[in-house]
Amino acid sequence: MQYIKLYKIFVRQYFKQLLEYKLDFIIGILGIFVTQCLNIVFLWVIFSKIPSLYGWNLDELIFIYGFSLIPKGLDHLLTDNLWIFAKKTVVSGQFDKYLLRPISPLFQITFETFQFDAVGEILIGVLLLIKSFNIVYWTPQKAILFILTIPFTTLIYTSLKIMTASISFWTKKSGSVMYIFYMINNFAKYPVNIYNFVIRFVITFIIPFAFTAFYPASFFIRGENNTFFYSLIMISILFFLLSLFIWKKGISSYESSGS
Amino acid sequence: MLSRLQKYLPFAKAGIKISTTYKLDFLCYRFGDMLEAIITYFLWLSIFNSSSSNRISGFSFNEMKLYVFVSFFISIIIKTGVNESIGEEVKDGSISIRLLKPINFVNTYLFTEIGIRLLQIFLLGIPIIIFITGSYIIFKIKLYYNFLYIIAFVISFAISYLTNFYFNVCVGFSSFTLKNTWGSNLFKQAIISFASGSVIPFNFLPNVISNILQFMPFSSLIYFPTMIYLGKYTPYKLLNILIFQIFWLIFFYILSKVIAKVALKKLEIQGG
Repeated sequence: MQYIKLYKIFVRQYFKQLLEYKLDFIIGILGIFVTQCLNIVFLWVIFSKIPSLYGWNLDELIFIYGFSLIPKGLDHLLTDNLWIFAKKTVVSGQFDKYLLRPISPLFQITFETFQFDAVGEILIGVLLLIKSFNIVYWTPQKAILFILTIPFTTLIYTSLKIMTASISFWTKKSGSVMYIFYMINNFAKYPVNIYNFVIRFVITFIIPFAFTAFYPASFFIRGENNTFFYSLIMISILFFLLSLFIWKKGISSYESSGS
Repeated sequence: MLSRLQKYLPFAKAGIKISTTYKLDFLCYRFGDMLEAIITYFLWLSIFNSSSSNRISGFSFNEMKLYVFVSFFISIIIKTGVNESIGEEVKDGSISIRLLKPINFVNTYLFTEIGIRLLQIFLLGIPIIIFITGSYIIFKIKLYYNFLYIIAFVISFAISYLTNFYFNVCVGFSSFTLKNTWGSNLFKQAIISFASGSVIPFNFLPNVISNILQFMPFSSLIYFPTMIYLGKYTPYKLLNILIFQIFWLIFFYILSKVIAKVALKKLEIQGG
């Protein structure tokens, strides 16, 4: 309860900032929006040259692409502060202040900022899903599954960020490691069968970003990978527990960087 | 001339020191960027496999492969943080220290950056050159280039670097009122990566759009150097392109001077 109250304060604080820098905020959203739009233009140009990509047509690719942006955007919206943590909080000695407060440090670190720019990602994701809405044969069961899928796919992102952020307890800074792992999410935007075996293996079993977009999306489109939902729940929860474990380990070996 | 350059030598040396301190960080970040190029590579591989012909819009797969990695390499090397440095220093007032020095203050940024780049070109260039030459030998791809093309590529690349630098000086001075530089950077990056040809070679776009983009300054950043590397131009066309690139470089050089002058006139720094 206390946590929800606190979260409200974080968000309110953020909106105050927003009002002060309205233009920045619009530019931020626009920036994300344009980035994603141009990627779609790329796909569109390509599909004017070829009929299908390993059996996937343009609408199907757009659905997968749009789907991938939803968990990405949600994670970006809610937990963006983990980036700041990995890049400077430990090294600048500011982590000490979180330890002094009677609330879980992980909670504070994760949710301290509310990154409204991410609306750009979510918005274009939703637009792309609407555009390719027809290619899915929707049933009530599928619709429920669709909604249930989203929190778990988002959890994969957040867990991975917590894990890589925890590394900075040992190394003081882990922004670059986080960046490498985070960038792997881009592989999930396209059907996994375009990649070779090694990459497919990595994004399915080791850094399971394929579960954030391709596997769910292909289930909705074609009914393939029927068991994806169980694997998704299992993998995301396992991943989350692992990230909590690494965070705990890290925090217990934390030494302040001084001053 | 030499003594003029000598004044900037300490800045270049500082740049080299900066990049040696953060070399691991740099490599990690560029490895993350590299993943994007790898995705593009696989995407093109599947595109060529799905196509009924060997060439799409005049590109063979081998050329496309080179295009992806060469343009990636160029985009990393020409990257500059000058717009952010200017923005921050104007905001916190530390730019006044630069302005007080009896040297051209834009050049101080330039030489620091060149120092930073030197090590980075070395760190990245060697594995990439080995990779490219290796793929030439292993896959027996025709070697297009002769001495002329290599020289032209190096010149074109250097112009590309400077054009991007002065363009970002303009951006830095015109956008330091923004706080959220992350968003505006993303916006700029998206437009430029498309208009410079790093997302897709212009040849794939409809003719009209391709022609417009080729006449815009950003084609000079990545598209032209990469196409020169691929040996796509006749010597005559090559010369025209280099002249075109120089034109835009001069344009941004002058523009950056004008914008800097206007911005600095309005600059007020509180305290010290």
